[in-house]
Amino acid sequence: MIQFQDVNFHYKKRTPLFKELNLDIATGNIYGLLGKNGAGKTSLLKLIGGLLFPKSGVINAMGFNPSERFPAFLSDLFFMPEELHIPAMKVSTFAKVYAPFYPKFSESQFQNYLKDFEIDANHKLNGLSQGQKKKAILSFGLATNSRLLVLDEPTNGLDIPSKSLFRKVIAGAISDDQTCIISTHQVRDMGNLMDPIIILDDGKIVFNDSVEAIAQKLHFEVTYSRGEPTDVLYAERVLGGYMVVKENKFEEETEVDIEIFFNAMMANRAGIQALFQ
Amino acid sequence: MTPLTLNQPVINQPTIKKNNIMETNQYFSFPRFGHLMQREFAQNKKVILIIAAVAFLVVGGNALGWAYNREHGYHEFSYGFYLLIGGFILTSMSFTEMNRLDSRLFYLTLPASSLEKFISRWLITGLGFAIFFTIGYWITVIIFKALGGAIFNFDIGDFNPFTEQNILFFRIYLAGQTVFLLGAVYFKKFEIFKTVLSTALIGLSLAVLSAIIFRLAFFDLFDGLLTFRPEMEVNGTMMPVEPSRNYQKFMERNAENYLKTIGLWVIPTVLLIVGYFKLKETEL
Repeated sequence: MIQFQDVNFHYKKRTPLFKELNLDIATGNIYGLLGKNGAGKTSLLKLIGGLLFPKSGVINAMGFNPSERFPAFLSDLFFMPEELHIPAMKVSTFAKVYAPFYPKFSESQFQNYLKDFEIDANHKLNGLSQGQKKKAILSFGLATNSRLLVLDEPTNGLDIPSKSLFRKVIAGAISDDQTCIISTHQVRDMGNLMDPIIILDDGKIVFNDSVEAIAQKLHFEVTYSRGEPTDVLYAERVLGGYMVVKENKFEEETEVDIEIFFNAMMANRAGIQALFQ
Repeated sequence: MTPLTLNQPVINQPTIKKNNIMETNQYFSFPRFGHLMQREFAQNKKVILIIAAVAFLVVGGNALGWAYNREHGYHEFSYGFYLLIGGFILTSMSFTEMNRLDSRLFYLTLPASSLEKFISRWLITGLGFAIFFTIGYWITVIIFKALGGAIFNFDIGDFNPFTEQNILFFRIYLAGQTVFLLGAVYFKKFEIFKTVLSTALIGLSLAVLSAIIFRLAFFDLFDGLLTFRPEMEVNGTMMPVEPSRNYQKFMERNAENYLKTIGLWVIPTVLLIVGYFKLKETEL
């Protein structure tokens, strides 16, 4: 669905952010885009959405060059930024005004998502809390049935029940011909939702693989001690001992903790990458 | 647009087919343009009403004040003044949604082409505003004429939008508006001030450049650095230097038309084209 080929990008008067970046994003998945602050997550999403233009290289999203921002491309893309701009109108009016731009928009789906998120369509968007605004706009975004959904920090501002609801709704809404890319710091909120995982560090894709591949290659367990340094790829103090990441030499697969995996990747990138090559 | 070719052709076939079919209307589609215009009005209903109310009170109030001082010819300057000032301010704000950080992403990802987005704002702030203002001004004058006559015994005069002068104001607005439209696309903050300043700077630079070229081309007609003395010595007599009769006649007949064509058509067209490409190239 999306391919980056030798993409170079930098902001004005700044050192390169992406250098010869290559990336392949397939259809039918909910991708988790992880990275530290300033790693380039939002910039990557903006390149996908045609909001930033690469300095060189090729980006192909759904058969389009995103930089052209052709309507056929934009009507198959829904981009929900971290900070939302909300026109001062009712939720229902918003849908009425914007739905004609999305040929696959479904009013009944929109009403169902609003119901799921407990949002009243007669409320004014600018009168809603930040979390409610996100839920209303997400309901609209999902109802557009766009093939590509880009969500930048979608759970920021959501309360705990809403985060759980968010996971449920997204998991149920994304079909096989759609792709959702979720950029987040709040890995725990997304738990089992994101698969595959893309990790971005210093403008490079340091990891792009499925959760299943992680489970096959890595073993996660809580131990009382840190274990032998030669054996352990990463250890982190948790309640009651250490969460240890090792190479999976066992037949059994353990449950993948994405946050621990991300921390392990940041702390011991070479060691973990070696296992995946 | 030809889909990009990659070394790894992962794009599935139905997508390409679909995109190719839709390719024909990727620059302009009337239904999409209609939706865009509907969106503009739905989103700016309040602003339009506020502007209309303020314009009504300012134009009417000033007309009464003018009539109170028993002065005539208010509409001769007032219509053009408010049309130009109001319209230029409005046009400078026409891309605020794109220039504000929080709404830029929303505007740029709105599924309409850059051409449609540009034309919609141009029509609304250009022809749309000029027509809306002219009708509004006419209605305001009728209402305030009746009010002034009935309450204060003032006559604020009649307004005829079809006088030669008012038609010229209308045309000047449509041409001048393109400068502010380009400024609105180009500058992210303080659009109107930056537009006025840059226009003044460009105008001044062109004037200085023209003067330098003139000084160099006619160097032998200058006495000292800047004193222009169009005289030449012919057989020991100083003779005045003038452009040829044919040239003078040609200019008398055509200069005004040429200036009008350049000012009202050529420059605005160039500015609109530049503005469109600037919008197309806008990044977040």
